[in-house]
Amino acid sequence: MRTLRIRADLSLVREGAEVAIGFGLRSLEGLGGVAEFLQHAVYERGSLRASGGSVVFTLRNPPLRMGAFGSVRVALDGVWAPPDRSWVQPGEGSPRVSLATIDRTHPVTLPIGRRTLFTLGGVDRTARKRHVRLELISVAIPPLVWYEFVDELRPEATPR
Amino acid sequence: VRGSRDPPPLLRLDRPDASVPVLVTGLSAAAVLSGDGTLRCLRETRGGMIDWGGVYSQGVRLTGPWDLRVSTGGAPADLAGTLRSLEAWRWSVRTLHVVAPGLEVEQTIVPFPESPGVGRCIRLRNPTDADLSVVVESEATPFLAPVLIEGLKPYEFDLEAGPNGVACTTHGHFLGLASSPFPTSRTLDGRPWFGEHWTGELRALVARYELHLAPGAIARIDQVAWGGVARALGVGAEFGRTALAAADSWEAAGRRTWGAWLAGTPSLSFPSDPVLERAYGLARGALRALYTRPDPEITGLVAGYPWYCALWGRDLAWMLPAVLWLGDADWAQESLRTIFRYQATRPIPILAAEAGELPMQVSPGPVFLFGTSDTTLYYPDVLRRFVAHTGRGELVHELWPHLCEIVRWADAKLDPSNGLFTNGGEVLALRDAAENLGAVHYGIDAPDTTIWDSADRRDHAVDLQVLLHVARASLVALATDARRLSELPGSGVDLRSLAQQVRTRYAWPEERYLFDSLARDGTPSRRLRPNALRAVSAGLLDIAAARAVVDRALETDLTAEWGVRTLSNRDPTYDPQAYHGGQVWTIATAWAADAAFAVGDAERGVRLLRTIAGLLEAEHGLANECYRGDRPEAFDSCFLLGFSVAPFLTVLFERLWGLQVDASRPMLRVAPQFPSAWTGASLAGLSVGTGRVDLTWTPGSLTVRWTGPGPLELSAGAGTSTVPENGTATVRLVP
Repeated sequence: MRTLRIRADLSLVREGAEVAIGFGLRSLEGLGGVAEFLQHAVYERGSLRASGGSVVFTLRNPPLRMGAFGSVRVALDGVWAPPDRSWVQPGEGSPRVSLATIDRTHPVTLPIGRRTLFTLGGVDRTARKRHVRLELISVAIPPLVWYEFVDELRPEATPR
Repeated sequence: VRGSRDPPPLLRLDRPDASVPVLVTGLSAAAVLSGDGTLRCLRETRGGMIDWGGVYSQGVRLTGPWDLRVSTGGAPADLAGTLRSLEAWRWSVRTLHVVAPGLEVEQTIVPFPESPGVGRCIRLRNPTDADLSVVVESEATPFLAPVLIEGLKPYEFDLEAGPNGVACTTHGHFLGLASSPFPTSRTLDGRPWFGEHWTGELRALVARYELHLAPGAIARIDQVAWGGVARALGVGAEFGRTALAAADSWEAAGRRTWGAWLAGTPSLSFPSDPVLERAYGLARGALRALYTRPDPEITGLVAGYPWYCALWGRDLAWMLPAVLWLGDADWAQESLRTIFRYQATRPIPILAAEAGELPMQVSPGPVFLFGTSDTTLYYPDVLRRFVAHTGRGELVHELWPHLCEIVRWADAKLDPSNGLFTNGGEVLALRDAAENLGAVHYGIDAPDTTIWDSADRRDHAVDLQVLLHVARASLVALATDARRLSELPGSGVDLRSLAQQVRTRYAWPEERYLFDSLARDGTPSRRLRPNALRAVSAGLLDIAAARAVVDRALETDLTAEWGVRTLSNRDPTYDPQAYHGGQVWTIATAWAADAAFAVGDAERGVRLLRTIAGLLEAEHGLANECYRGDRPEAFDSCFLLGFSVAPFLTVLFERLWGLQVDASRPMLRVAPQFPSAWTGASLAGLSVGTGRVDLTWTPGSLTVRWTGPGPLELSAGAGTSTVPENGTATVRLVP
């Protein structure tokens, strides 16, 4: 894993150099700025934690695609959270929606720039580094959108 | 008095209508409002409701809604509830509101013609016979995200205020807010703020103005919102203050800029079809509304508003032919230079770029991305058209190395087993490249990126074979004219064989149509899409086959009353709200019109153009990107897309008027295809090189007036003739 990371990082450096050579340093800065924004704009780092009998986390923006989704599912370390025991609250103050009730005729819109809280029941709540994958299907544009992050799952009542 | 020189507005409302989007644009900035007079614009987007109102600049959405509330002692009134009239032109919007007990509030919103900002003038008049204490609250929601990143908004901002106004920054983007007079006070999310440096989450920045108006008195508040990409702004911190000093001339400057541009474009008259004539004017203005020069490095046209306001290589290629017919050769030239400047010189997997590829998107920064199968293929023909319109062959020499790179790029995409161009895998390659980078990964499982880039059309989409044919033919023509044919890299593209393959391997006998695509093993994709019409327009089919394709495309499963669908509604996968799997796209309607004219069917060609014309009128000079496939309702649609106006304009010139130019000679070919019931048409101010042409048509007769240097070679009717310099010629046309 470590070797892979080093190789990937070196590849990034090489490609960054190619951008700079081909298009100038300003281009590299511009692209880097957007990449950095993308890294930080969706998942709220540190929000993955155990809560009650569930695991919760927060998104600050929809992942890559805006609008309404007719399918939302979430996997923790490769295991899909049971949709009938998982919820999404799209924006502070809005009602929770069971993932099991979301379909094309009952889509959910993830708000831009507001906190969306995911609650996953029936999943392993072990506090350690965890891999989370979301898969969403827009009601308007078919290809699947996916988003993955890795973060330390904090035990219940641990201050961030 | 202020409005006495104004042309009629595009939109006039005497009551609020929040469902109507209103757009005003400059070369760098734009304002998005709705027909209730607010800088809000709630709009269905990808199936959800999203607000798009506010100020945009340099491809960055500077603000979300930017509200005004006015109170005269009672509860504050918002602009929507008090609207009495709204008038919108391309360069400004004026609204009038009446707030109890009669306070008149006039608002004018003007994007600066070239600078990265928008001005907002507020005039308050007290017509009552009593003193009024008035409080105006201006509430801005910082947004500060580049529009090319869909649906993301930062949530932490740095703010401070000083003599130049408020400066708000995040992630390298900047929003400046300045006003005259200074506000009486400010709050951040309801907390008093005195301008000290502040960092944190922010929803609302409110500036409060407390005014006192004697009977008959007028007060004014002028505001400026400006900004964009901090390092590419090109203006200093004092910009807002400087702009405010010229507030009285904002609107006149916008009107003057538009007037000057319009004066350089042709005027078309269709007495037999006033709807089409008006639509030409609307489409011309809509195209100009997309012009962009956000910084000195980038010139072009943005793809659309509100969420595609960046330079998209594919969209620009569809727009430039219309720009050329409108006579704006300089803009086309700088646009071409821009797009070629960002051609990839080597593979860059993290940007999905192959060597020689032209960019999918370019934004100030600069920020650019690649990864489409078609964008690069458009440009040889766009350049050929540029030279034909202008005679400026020197641009070919300047771009020659780039053209050679296109040849190599296209050759690398040829399937050696069949000689066909291969599409697909562009975005998957990007995902692979980014797989091991960072703790956050994301992607869209789009296996293919043709013009319908959410549809899987692998491996050999028919329209890409047509595009390749046109591109290669254009490259050969450019090289020949530049006397550099021997320098053009050898290519595996055999034009005759490619055309033959389109005619035979794509033939779909049961439908008398063309397959949408072929798999590598030759298996055809039996999806009926409008893309096959491009083979008709390119002249790759014999006339009988071409007519059959047009006939089939215009059957009701593919063509609705409001336009042409992206997929037949008989297809098992048809979905009326799928972006590229059933929705009606106006560009497809323009393709159908083009193809109908190409097979000599003027009546149906004009009927399709009138479909687009009707939409342009109904949408007050905007042009939706797409509509549901089952009813004429915009869905997941930018309210203005260059795709929806430029091809319409191009068909008017190239097919309805039947124009072809070659400025190097100079030569004009005119082969009009007007419907049989038409009694006349005229066109004035068409640019051919440095000269101008006026045309007057009546059935059987064409009069040409030429004001260019030297004689004009005219090909019309039975043969060719010559129009002398500053002279006129009339030719008989065969009915």
